[in-house]
Amino acid sequence: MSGGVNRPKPDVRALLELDRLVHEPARLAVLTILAAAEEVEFLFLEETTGLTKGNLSSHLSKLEAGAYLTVKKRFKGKLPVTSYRITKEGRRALDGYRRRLFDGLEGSG
Amino acid sequence: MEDAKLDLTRLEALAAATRAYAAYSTTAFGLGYSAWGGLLVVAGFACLASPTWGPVLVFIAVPAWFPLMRGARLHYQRRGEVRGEEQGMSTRRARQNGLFGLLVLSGLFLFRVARHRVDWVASQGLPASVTMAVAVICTVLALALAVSWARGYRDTYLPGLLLFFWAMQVTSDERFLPASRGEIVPAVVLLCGAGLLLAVLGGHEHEAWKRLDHRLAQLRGTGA
Repeated sequence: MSGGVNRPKPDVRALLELDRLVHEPARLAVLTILAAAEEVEFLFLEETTGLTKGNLSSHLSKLEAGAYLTVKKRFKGKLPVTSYRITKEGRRALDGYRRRLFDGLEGSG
Repeated sequence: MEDAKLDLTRLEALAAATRAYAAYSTTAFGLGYSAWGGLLVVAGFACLASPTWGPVLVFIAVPAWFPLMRGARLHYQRRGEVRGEEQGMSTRRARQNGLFGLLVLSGLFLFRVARHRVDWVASQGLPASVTMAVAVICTVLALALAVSWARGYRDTYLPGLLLFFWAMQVTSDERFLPASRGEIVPAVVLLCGAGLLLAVLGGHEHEAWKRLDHRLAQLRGTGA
């Protein structure tokens, strides 16, 4: 029964080379949001991803440790505000991840 | 594979919504334009009602707009502040150029006020010292507020235009504003017309922002 739909084979090697730091839905969403802006407040990330504060903080810390984003803390009146910026490395990692994902899913042949 | 495509679509939607949110926050979700519109219409009618004090109101509108704009931004940024990519180098330079233009314009105006006899003020029966004090205070205040709160170069356009308008009125022999109560002159029609146009533009943008706000609420927790 080889006359079925001729689907391209997934490129397993490309998929195995995916950046694990990016390959997590929450972190992928965070990096996507950060890549679409210059600077984003924690509140916006929390509101748009729907993650809890603790969970989001944990993901942001991992991305910061990987040098994929920078953190800026300041005060808005008396309220402390934390903002995030994606770094060049972060942008490169996100672009690379997308490319590899597409390559992997489209297949090598 | 289908799931992955679905997720990528959601991610694209998230990125697009973020970009739109940042763009709308620059114009205070349309309310920046509406605030200008309201101020211009009020100033236009004030000129018709009182040729003496109406023009002073036109001038006060310049620094009054910045707190209105900032208040609207803070109120509608309840989802947090997002600075858009357009705040990059080129836009930063454009903002600096706008501020520089405003600074030059203010300097020229203050110089003219200091150096020249102001016929218009005297002809209106206004205490010249009061009018000049308002002019100087408003100019300096508008500059300080623009430097602190202007988010983009657009924030310097209308203050600059009104400053220029007022400088022309006060320091030249030409008469732009009504000399008597109820006299309709082109400048007043222009003020009211521009005000209405800006109010409509702001309202339209605010409606678009509401739709985006709804979309953001839908995107929340989609696991994008």
